[in-house]
Amino acid sequence: MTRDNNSHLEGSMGIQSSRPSASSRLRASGAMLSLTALATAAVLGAGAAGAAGPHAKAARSLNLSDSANLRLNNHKGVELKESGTAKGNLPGPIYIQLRLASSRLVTAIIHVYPSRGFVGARASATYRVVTSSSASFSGTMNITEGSGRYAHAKGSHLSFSGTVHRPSDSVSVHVSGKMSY
Amino acid sequence: MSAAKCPTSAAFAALALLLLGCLPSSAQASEAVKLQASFTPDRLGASTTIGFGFTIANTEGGLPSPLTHVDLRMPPNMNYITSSLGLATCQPKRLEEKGLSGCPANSRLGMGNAFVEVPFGQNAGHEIPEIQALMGPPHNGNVVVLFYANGLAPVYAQIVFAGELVTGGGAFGEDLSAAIPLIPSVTNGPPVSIVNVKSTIGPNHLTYYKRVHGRLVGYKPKGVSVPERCPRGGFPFNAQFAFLDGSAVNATTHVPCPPRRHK
Repeated sequence: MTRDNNSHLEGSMGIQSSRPSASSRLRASGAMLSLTALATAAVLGAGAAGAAGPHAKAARSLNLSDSANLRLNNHKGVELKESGTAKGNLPGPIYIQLRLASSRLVTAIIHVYPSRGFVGARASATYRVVTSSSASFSGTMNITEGSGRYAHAKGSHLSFSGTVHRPSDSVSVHVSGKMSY
Repeated sequence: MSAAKCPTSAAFAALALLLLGCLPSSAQASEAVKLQASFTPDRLGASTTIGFGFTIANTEGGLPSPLTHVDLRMPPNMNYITSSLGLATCQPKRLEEKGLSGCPANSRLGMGNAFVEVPFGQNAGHEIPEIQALMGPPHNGNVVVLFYANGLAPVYAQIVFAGELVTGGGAFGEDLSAAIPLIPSVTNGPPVSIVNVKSTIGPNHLTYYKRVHGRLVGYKPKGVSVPERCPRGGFPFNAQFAFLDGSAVNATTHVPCPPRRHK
């Protein structure tokens, strides 16, 4: 494919001038480079579309259905800082800071450290008291940041739910939805 | 102000006066209520016992109308869920049948007392020495606080009523909304007038129990935390009171900001 393009390029040049000047030679080299780059991109693009190889530039997506059982690290006022290990499609250490505002609203900052990267998210949910010793929450989560392998992590309106268990203040969370990175 | 606007203002004033004259009785309360609130300890971020109370008086003399509803609005950023109060549930029916002994110790939230006056006699007040606040079964995802009032002679009544912790609004956080049943003075007699109530929600004087290596061990539960920041003017409490005669009164108080700790 690349070769064909180059031969076509040479043929055109031949029509314009039998002995190309220095400037026209430069222009020709530039055009050749551009076309080569285009052709290379076309080849790579075709390959990526066909096989979605590990070096593909296109955003990859991940269907999350991850959960974690978290233990309380720190409790200050209406804020609970929890940590644990996420299990699912984005496994790794997870840290969550939950803020249980007084108007049935819980907001959360979530940091997950999967292999070779980091994903940060924010969530908000409403909660309801289920029993005297537990309250469940349900809402949405937006991925706000990432690094490493997940530097371009994106995702919005993912489902975010869980339960706060009293008196240990341990929390279980579940996240589901599609993210890209 | 231009001369042309004067008649309009006068018309508004006349309309306002007319409206005032036409206001329903609910706005013409003859009851005056003083609300009190406290934190013990009053320290930013600390687990605390919330104390609240109110005194009702009739501005025209005589007994105040019996109380029928209270909405107690608490400061924002105070959350029951992050406390360890009310880890067990008290069933209202058990409480009615057996009194306090019918409910687990870990369902107790606080305690208090009340002072009532009967609509006969010489304004003789009578104390209801025991009011207990307990964790009831949640309703619509909200915390339910059961109040158990144990009255002795001459107001011999064991009354259970519930308050629901609902979402507040504006400058306030959660709202404890409770319908107060009428307390009969004597059988089939007129209801008593509540003149004073004091109660707490918090760990003071409470002992919870948990099993440690098979043994029941007593401990003090963690109370609701005082918010980390104190708003200017203190932590606001507000209550709306409704009375049997249809009147309503709004009362506000503040728990002062604790003194700054010197490092």
